[in-house]
Amino acid sequence: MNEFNILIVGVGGQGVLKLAEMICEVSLLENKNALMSEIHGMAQRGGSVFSEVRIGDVLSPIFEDGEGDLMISLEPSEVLRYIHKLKRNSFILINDSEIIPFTVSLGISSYPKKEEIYKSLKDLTDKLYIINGTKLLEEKSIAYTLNSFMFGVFSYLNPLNFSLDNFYKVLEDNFKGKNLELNKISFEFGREKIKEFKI
Amino acid sequence: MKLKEIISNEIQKRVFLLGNEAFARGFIEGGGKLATTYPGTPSSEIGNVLSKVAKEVGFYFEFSTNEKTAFEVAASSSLSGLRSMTFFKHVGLNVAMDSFITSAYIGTIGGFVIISCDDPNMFSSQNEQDNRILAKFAGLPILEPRNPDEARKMVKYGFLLSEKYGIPVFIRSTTRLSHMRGIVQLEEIERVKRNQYFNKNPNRFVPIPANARVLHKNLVEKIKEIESESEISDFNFIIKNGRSYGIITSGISSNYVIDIVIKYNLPFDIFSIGFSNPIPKDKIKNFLESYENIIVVEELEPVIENEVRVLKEKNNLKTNIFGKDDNIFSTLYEYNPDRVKNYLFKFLGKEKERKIFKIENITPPLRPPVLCPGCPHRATYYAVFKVLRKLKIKDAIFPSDIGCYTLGIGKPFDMADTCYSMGSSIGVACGLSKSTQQKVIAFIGDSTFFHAGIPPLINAFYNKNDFLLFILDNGTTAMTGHQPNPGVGFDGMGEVAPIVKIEDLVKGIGIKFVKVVDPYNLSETMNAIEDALKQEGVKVIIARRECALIRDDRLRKEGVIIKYFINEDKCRNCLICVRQFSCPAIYIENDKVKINEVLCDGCGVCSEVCPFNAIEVIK
Ligand code: SF4
Ligand code: SF4
Repeated sequence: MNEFNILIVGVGGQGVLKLAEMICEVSLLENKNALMSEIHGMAQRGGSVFSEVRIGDVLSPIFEDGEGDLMISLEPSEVLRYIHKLKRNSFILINDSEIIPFTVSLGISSYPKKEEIYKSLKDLTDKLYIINGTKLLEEKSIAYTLNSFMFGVFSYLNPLNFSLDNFYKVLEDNFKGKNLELNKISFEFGREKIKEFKI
Repeated sequence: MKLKEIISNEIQKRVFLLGNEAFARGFIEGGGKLATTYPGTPSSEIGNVLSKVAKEVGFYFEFSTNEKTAFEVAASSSLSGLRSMTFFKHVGLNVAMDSFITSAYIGTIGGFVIISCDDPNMFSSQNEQDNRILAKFAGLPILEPRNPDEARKMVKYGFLLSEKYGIPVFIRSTTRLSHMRGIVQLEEIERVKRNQYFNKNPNRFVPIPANARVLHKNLVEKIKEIESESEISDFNFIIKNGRSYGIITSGISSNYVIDIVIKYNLPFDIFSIGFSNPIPKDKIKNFLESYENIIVVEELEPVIENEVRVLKEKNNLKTNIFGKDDNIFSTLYEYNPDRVKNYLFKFLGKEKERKIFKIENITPPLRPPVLCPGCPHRATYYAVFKVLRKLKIKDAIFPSDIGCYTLGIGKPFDMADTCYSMGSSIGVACGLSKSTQQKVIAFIGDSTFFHAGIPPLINAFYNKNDFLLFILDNGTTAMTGHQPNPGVGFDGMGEVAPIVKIEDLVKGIGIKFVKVVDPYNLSETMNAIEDALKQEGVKVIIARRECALIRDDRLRKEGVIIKYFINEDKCRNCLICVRQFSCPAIYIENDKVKINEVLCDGCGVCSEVCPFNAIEVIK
């Protein structure tokens, strides 16, 4: 069975679902079957959010543990929560900007040291990419386009060899006018910046 | 939401839709003319779509005050000949139950489809009841879609079946189906003009006992007849390779079974069921006869399994049937590929490979869902906390209800002590105020109040109860994605609507203590609470302030961006804003309190909380 499994994770409000949807839409333009699962409702309120994407000839929208080929995490610590879903030596892309939950401030849990997270990830894969999209975008005042930035990063790594045209088509389908312009800027920025950030 | 694609006329077009969007498309393709709902995860997106396209496509849609009303509006519209649909989350059916059961007797004229979105694993619910049991209890045909495209098809088929037999048709979705996306292939939109006229037929539509006895008999006969439809339905199919064992599975679980059997080349033939009540008895009987051992794989209750066991007994078959009773499959939670794989491997006595990727010793921080930055409910909870502390009341009880504010259960507030169902906060407050001497402060949202809060509030007044009720009026149904309700001034068609004023309604009951406060104004809110707690009887405080997400939208449109920061010169690190108020935008870094500018919503309540006036607006 040919299948490629992707996990997009982050914190409620970061745009996890939109990013997952855009990746699926590129696959469809490539004439590949895509499935996606989402989380709505209570979990969305600032909690941990994830979406599974499957590309290939499969029926289930969710995949087995240990079968993920690529993870995009919009927040550093969220990688840890879903690491069991990945294969060894899979792609891991991290947006290097923490969102500290209130449980940490209240002292009922602690936020791990980022260096330690990254160090242990390096032992598990050599396809680790870490980039602070939030910060880079803030400098341009377009932090809210983080998902297009990561979409750009994904298009650069392009593990399934999709055509770049199709990425642009999907951006055009999803955004209009001024917003499209800004998201394109963000997308290209992601493609360009990722070259410097492989660990 | 891809509205253009959902209403597109391009036949054969392949679009990527959410299960719930596909239900909406099915309604449109099937020529649906009236749809109703009360929003609830995981069903909400069906209504969100229908509400936005109703005018353009040309049908009527409403957000009803509760599921029972929604059900009655759709059922009666079917009696007038229109294709109608109602849908809600699983527990919504409990609310609609009274009319639901009888509507099976009364039946339909225009096609009538009911979609129940169950929530195995309780991603967003208080229980994981399997509503197939309730549909069977009512005596209705059940369809269980496996993917979005089938969701679309089954609504259309449901209309036809409903019209042919004059019976409501029940579609059972689950969270995983409602919230998965897949490819949907569009078909033509039906544009037949139907007769819209209510032809009186009291012998059928008024089930007084003499009529009901006839109607029940008719219902039993109808469902018997429908067996032949299930027998020939393409929604029930067999994947046969001459393997040693058989699996019978249904709905979303079919996907896990088929994927796993193919991927690991397991020795099972598969009977996948989409039309599950009545089950295709002959087909199943034949299937049973072909194998010594059969496993039944279905999420939650053994609905199909029990029928299969009965079939086996009746036909004196030798086949061994495995399922829930043998503890092979659990009745708990959602299934997934891992669970199905583990169960099947265990059944075959196969070792499963472990290749799980793990990081020892580093764990992510707890990140439970929380009230948004700027959420007015947080301010209300904080005000209650402050007043109780001032009055030295330590053992107050907080009956809560269904909505974002149920998150008051978490730290630091701990202000949700009970929650049964929509509207239960008030009934529970009645009970607790009679059965204890403790102060009772109940919380209910505006939408939930309209849904099921009014009868218990009348009960409280009539039976001379003593408690304080907060109606948290944020002008929307927030948790499910901001649908309107009777208090907000527009309706499901997107039109201007009359506003039901909660304070007038409460005063109309006869309740004397009714105050409206703005929770962003802490001192005003605290004064109202203090006044209320000094009085006997039922007191109502309406905490009115728009949901922070709606306020965001409004301010963004107005071009106003307000953000707060901690003035380090004034901050004395008392940590009150962190420990007692806990807005998610406030955090500690290197022992200093900070505000995350991206998350801050500019509500300014923290600046009232801070005793040293150290929280200020960024200029
Ligand atoms: S959606 Fe609105 S009501 Fe719900 S937690 Fe956020 S601000 Fe509060
Ligand atoms: S103003 Fe204060 S309480 Fe309001 S969102 Fe910002 S940090 Fe939170």
